[in-house]
Amino acid sequence: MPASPVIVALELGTAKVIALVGEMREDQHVMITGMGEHPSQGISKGQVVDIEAAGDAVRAALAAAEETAQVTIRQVVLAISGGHVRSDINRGVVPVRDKGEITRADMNAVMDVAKAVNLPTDREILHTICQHYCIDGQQRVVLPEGMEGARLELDMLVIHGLRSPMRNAIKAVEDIDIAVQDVVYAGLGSALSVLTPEQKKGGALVIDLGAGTSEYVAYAGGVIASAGALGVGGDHVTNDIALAFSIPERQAERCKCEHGGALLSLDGSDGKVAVAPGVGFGGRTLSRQVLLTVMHARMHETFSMIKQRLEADKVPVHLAAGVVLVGGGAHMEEIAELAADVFDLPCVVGKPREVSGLATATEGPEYAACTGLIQYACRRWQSKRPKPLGSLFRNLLKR
Amino acid sequence: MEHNDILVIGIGGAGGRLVDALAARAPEAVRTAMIDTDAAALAASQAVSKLQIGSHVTNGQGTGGDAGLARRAATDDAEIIRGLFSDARLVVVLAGLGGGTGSAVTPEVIKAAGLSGTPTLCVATQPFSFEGAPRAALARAAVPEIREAADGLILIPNDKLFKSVGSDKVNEAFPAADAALGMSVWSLWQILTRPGYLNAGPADLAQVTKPERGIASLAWAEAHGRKRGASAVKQLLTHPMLDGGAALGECRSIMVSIVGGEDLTLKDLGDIMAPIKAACHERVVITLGTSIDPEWKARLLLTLIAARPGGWSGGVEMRPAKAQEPTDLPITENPAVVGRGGVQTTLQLEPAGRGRFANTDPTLLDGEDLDIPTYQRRGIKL
Repeated sequence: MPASPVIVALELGTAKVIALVGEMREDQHVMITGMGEHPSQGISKGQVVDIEAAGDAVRAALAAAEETAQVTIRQVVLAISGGHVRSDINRGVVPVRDKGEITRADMNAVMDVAKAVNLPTDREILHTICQHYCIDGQQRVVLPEGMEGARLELDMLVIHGLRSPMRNAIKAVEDIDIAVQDVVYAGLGSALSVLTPEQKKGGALVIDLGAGTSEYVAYAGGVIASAGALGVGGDHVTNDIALAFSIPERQAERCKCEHGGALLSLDGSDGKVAVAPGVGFGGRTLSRQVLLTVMHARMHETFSMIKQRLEADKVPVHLAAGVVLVGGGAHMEEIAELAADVFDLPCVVGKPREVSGLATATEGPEYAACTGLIQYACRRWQSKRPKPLGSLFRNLLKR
Repeated sequence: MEHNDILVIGIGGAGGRLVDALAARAPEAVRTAMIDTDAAALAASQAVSKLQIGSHVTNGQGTGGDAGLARRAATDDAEIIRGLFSDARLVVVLAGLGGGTGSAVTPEVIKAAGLSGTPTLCVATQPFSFEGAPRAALARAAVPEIREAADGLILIPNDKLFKSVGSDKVNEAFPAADAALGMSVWSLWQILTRPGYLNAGPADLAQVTKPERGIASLAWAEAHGRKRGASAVKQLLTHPMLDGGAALGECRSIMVSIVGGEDLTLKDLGDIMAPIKAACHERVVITLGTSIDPEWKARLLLTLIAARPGGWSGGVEMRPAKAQEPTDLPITENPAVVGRGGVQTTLQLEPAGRGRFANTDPTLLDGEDLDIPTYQRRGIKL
């Protein structure tokens, strides 16, 4: 028995557009009933640069999803990614009205204050997520209702991004007459999809290695401690290889996928890699050691930058549940070993959990964001708050 | 260069007024920004993006000439400043040296632009001598720092600016000087953005104003009537900004830009260039750019930018450059009036090593362009 309506998750990735159709079953697991994919066009570094071309790719992906799921798609939940996404913690403070006991009204009041974050005019809020309450200086209160105190504080994690790239992504979808019912930060989707409650509690870092961008979400003590993105992804690795060996992009991409890896080989052997000839390219062999050096430099740098960001955000260094890698980049040879090395934490490649249905969608780390989106949308639907779904994004959706 | 590629930033009160002056004359200058600590000055500015820095060190007030305070404001909000340059191909920084913000923040902004790989051209005014020694000292301290970091620098001493407007009544001189400065900035904008038959563009400007050439100064003259060419050039060669023209003989490179109507004739060009060539050293390279603007019918605007190795009077005194003999000048084969100087310039408009990302906005983080392969930026030998 489905416990939610059918949800369509759509991600406009830099490499491909993915559409997943799914619904939540009564036992809280998500059933994927359809999927469609199409190579992206008009999207560069996670941002729409050609609305029409992007719209065509979306149309193709949705058509394939409609075919497999046997449904007609009119509205989608859209994943937002891009190197511009950042998070900040905003603390709201209110005096407790009835001297003494904290009521629901006080909690609502402090939530409103904590949500009122001052962003630069070109940015817009994607999510506001409650972290902890604090009563008269007593930190990390989970549920303050009914407790005693004079001053109630709330730390709110605000995830925000640049307005125009986000609006353009929405516009690319709306222009082909598909309604966007909600937008979700792709990194959040990935985290929802792959982490267990125990991992969230123990502290975990999810990194979504996309083609154009790398998103991350860090959980500590059961709440999101930090989120953000870097405008660097798998395309950069390919570009580095193409420039290092002066080979065409297509060949560089194949080299990366077939012979690449994130760690330098320790045995010192210097094997050769053959690059197949292509149009206007005669083919050549190159040193695998040099290939690994180029890829290692880029991936090491990417992880180090995320680590620096987390340190700047004062995320606890000890994330007991370690690092979980998702996204297409997680397919890279020895990438988990490199991440374990940089973060000094255990690291695994994640795959969507509590999901069944189409095998490809439930196995691959690159589908984590979309399956997470379906879970997110279903839970919001179930929570049956008085607010309609997506009311938080009214401003963003309004043109 | 497209209008959108050029980011014009005004820094401090004086810089903000220069941006406003440009915005009034060139509505197509759409990428303008103002950086200041003073919230009220920002509010009054016409710039498109306004950046208030150091709000917690100055409380939204000006710096009152305190360079230390201004520098702290700049370093505190360095991240925000860096965000400005994201996709600009040239940054033009306008500032008044002598004030706190103008003197201390300008070098920081130029350094930040340099780190993000964006070339910069700085146009700065220098304080009046009657403003006193402390302000002059502030300005003097800022100039070497700017020269170090900027790709091009043009200095305009206020003293001489006022001499050039030819009035000493306060209520006439100040508006006239503001207008003159506005015209100076506008004429630069013309050089940067407007293609002409003889093209002198950003690269040529960089060549003339690059710090190794000395201190560049800018003068312009407007003339109308039948003999407008001769009249404009006469004004220019006696212009206070160029020390009456006598020092042109020492200059290592000179750029002449002419804006005229559709009735601009070759004879006009001859009338203008002959006296300028006569005033200069015979082997110096003169870069000439012309553009036609229908609004300038029967009028013309002549702008001359020249770098003098020892600096101009009334401005910053420079040590005499080692090679002062003009015979040591790097001279090209044909020293006649040329369009594009065939020399490699320092204005690198297309950073190398970006491959497939060559035509996209750079991905900047802490001043590094992440689109450039890591192994190149880290100097890893392959």
